[in-house]
Amino acid sequence: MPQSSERLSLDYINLSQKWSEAVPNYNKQYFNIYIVRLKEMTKLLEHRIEKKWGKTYPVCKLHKLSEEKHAKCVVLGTIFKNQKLKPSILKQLAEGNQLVPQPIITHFTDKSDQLYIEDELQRYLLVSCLQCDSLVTGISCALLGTGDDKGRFVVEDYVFAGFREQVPRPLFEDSAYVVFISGLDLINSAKFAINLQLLIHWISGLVGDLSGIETSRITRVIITGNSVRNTPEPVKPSISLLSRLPDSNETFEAVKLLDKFLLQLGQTIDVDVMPGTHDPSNHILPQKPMHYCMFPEASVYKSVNQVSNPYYYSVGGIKILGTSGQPVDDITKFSEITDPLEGLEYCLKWNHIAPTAPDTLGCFPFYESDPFIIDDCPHVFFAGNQKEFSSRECIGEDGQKVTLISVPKFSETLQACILDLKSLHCHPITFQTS
Amino acid sequence: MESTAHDSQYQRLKELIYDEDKIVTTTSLAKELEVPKSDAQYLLDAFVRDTNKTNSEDLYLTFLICGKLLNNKGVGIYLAEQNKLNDKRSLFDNISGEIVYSVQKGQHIDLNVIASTNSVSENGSGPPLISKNCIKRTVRSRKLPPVQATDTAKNAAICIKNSKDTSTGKSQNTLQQNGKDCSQSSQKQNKPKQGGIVSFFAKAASKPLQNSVTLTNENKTSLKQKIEVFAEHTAKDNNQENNENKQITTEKKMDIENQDKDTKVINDQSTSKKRKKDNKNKGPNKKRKRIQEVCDSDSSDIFDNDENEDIIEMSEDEPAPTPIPIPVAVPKNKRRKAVDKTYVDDEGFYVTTTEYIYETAPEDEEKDFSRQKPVDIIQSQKKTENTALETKPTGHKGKVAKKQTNVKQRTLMSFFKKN
Repeated sequence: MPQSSERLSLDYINLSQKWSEAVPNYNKQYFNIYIVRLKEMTKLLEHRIEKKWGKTYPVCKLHKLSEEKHAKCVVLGTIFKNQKLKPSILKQLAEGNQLVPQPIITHFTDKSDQLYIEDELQRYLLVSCLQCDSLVTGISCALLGTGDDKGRFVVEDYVFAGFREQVPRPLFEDSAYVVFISGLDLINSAKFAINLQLLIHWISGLVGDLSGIETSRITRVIITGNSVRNTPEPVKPSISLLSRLPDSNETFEAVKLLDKFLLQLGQTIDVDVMPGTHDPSNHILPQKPMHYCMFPEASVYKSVNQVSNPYYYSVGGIKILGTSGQPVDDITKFSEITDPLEGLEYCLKWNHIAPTAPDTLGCFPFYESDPFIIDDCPHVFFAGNQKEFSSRECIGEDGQKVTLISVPKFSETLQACILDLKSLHCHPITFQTS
Repeated sequence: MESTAHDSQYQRLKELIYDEDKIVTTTSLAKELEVPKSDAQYLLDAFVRDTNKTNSEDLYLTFLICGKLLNNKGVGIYLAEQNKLNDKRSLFDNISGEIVYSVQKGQHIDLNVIASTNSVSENGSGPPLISKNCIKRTVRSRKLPPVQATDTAKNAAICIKNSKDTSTGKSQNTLQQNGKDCSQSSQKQNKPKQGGIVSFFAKAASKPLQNSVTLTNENKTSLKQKIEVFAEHTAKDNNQENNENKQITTEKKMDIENQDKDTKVINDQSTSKKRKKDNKNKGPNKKRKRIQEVCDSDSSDIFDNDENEDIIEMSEDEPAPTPIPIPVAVPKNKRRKAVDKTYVDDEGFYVTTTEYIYETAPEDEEKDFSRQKPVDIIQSQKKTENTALETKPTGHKGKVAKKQTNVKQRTLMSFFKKN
């Protein structure tokens, strides 16, 4: 009988409690989250203000700008981007009676977009300096400039919360790897069943070390969302809500396939499964872990873990933070940022995982704290379900080094990502057939 | 020794490919021969070399090519057929390894079939690499709550509870009703054992019904005492049910309808045929009980018993093996209701299905009204054309019309006078 050898295992800590334990309370309004966000960011911004401008300029509240009439002052607030093309339920209702079908828009930026700065009481229109194309609603910032009597604030300089403090990462003597997979789309798995099988073979060591990577040193596999499907479930055009439900059982079969896939992986390696936009979990962020009852065969193994989205964990002392891609996709829709890595870098600069929530990205109406604020700077920051693989290192103001990873959809690219924890370099691995 | 073992394994490999027409991969061969993967790979490579020497074209091979791809595209693991091997090699910058993936006899290669033969089995040899967390959890099985009992102990509990209620007219009636229930249940159970007590309770049950309004306090207390005594007897007789009784007393107040619901819950666990039978049996049983208590003196409907007898006869016939029940025949006073039922299937998945059960309809008038609606529409259309004022009444137009025609047809003169 062929003998099994033990795989390398590192210390693992799940740091995602604030997302997986969040209790949804829909009785509160959404404006509370902006107030809490600004309140928490104010402490960081004050530190940044002092570091950049010293104590030269006074910090003034927006509603007191017209009273105090400073020559130059610093204001703190949240940016609101007024976009003509932004989807609005009122527009949908008003346009519902029109006979002419409206064109489907996927990118909502326009030359007429305007930026405002808001706090608890007041709002001012921002003029000059700030690039509207690279900003989105929900960013907390400090602006240096002057306010006029016409409700406008002329910006001369600005500062964001920036990268948080980073714990130095441990040094590894030998390489240890973490594999990222995304967008399995098992509902269409017939097209790439052999490719998935090659992946399993490679991870389980049946291929050996021919790939140049010691498979015994692969410690963990992270499945970053959209395992069941990549596209929304087709809905029948009907007035009745009940008759819109699809008749087919494709989703059930796909979940069963996912269970079998996780079983095969779980027998050989630790697996973390994140929910995605189209997975059977709650739609708005933070997404709760998928229920274990959907995986009766795989959930028996301790190595199979259902985790939340966003997901933050530590493996071997390396802190890895990431999402299934919704925040980055939303940023690219409402700004001219096209590169997902650029979007990830901006998220670290703005110190917020999902700044567009709850304006255009659904989230719970939090009122005590904003759970999407980054508390400490991770070593790796990833976003799943992207069009193609890309990875680079970004450096913060205080020398923080973060590896950014864009995990591609496996169903389209047949690629997974492998991260070397020793060097924090990430490269793709392709499973192709003739 | 080793050479003989090697020869036998090689021979077995040939048999698998040529005789059994199997798709042989490294993993399947290792599992079949119970050898390490490396030995299985060596055997397969040796076999391929030998077949290349003999230039046999009966076999089709697939190869696994691993290495670094061109243009810094990372690592690639490619599965290639024998005839496309060179094309795939050209995509690599540096090939770190090339092994035989599968061997099969025949012309056509289906990669999905190869994938399915090469799956990591649960109860087989297992993967070569295992993490220390790849162990099964200790699973605790869930126990379903106990089924609620539907025996006289419940009735006793009801009687005890209701006797503690305030002495109002309502409580009198409840006592009477529960006295009925107690007596009914007592009649059920006590028939084979306690003949004397049965006769005692039979008289006591009939009395409050006859003199329902004129119960005095003395009669109330005596009735209470009797009911309490009865409760004690039933509790002693049914020792097993006492434990369940305690559970039941803490539950909500049990009425007859709740008892029926419980019986329905128990019946839902059985097949649909049995449900229909039980539902059919419930109706006549209810009627049967009531009629036995009341019909001798109070019932004015002569034909009640006949209907019950018919139903009883039907229920007697039902246990006979009948084939598929006809879904079209909806029994009287029954309404089809959709109920969601959740259960665990063989694969361990929770499945929720919608099943239809029959329930007693609340009122017969609604059914009559619903049946008459299309007729009413037609009649109303006709009458609106004639601009008659008699279209206003809705539900009973047919009957009213008939009645009117009946009335009108008495005399011709009355018909013309009304106009």
